[in-house]
Amino acid sequence: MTEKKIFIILPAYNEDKHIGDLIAEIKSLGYENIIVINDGSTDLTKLVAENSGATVITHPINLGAGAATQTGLTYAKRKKADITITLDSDGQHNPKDIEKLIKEIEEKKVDIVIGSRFKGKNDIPIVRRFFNLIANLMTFALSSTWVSDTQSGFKAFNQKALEKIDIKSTGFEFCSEIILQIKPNSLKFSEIPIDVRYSKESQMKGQSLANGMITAFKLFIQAITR
Amino acid sequence: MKIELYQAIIVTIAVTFLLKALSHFLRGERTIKELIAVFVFWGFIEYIAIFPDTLGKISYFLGFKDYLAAILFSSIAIIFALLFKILLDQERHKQEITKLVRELALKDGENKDDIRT
Repeated sequence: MTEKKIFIILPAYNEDKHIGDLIAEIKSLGYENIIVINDGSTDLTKLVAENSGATVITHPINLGAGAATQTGLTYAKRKKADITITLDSDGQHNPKDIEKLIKEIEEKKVDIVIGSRFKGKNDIPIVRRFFNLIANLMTFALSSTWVSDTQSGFKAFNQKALEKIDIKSTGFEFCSEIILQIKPNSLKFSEIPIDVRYSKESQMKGQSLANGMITAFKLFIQAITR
Repeated sequence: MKIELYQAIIVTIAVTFLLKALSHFLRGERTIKELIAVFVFWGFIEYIAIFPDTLGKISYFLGFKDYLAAILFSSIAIIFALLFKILLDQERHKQEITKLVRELALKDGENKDDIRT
């Protein structure tokens, strides 16, 4: 295990069914600084996370995945984390991949590593593949940066990236916003394949046409008002 | 050139909005892109008010048969611009609330850390 100060950020909204097991799994791999950003959950997420030994930061109201992620990144920055990992708290990401992301940052000397579901051998539903492609094309049009999985929540950031990245989006469009900030901030990034473990609940998240349209509209507004 | 009352009212409204936008820009509350957008929009309205015949030329160019269609078209454009402004304001307020809530949550978390250590 590396001696660097590593922070694991888990943005969570009503995830009391999964968060306990996920924290236990991450702890079993030797990571101690596990930060749950409880984004105004109305269930027992806060209690379960605290009882599982994580540090819990609570938003009194639900702001969205983007705001929760930025709260986590700011917390890690103030704690002078060397490497910060974000992953979804519904358990779809395999914590065993955390080590791969850290290794990539250390060996390739990149600032951001994106865990790509599409670079690995994953059984991803066709609808999700389609919406992801639309999001990739849209992000590419706005940022001129091609990423195979723009909507991945599994990422690693070094200190430089923590300093530079400032997520303004509150919702799921934050994933694209991070990519939009890579070039202007002269950050280096890479993608590595990750495993994905879809449950019925995680498959329901963020894949509707309406969500995609709202995300597209928000990205457009951001692009013309920046 | 004779100025009708409606023209004077529109020009006054447009100039008010332009000065307000300029003042916001000088205070750093508006970006240059927003300022340009405001100038283009209200500048166009002002121009049309002062030279209403232009509307006829635009209507002809766009293929509208009469002024009524052009007025309807212009009205929709104004409503769209106002809606856009409301959306921008709403987004700005949302971001301010987000910043506030995030900072409160972080302070609370840091206080807990202090108690633990």
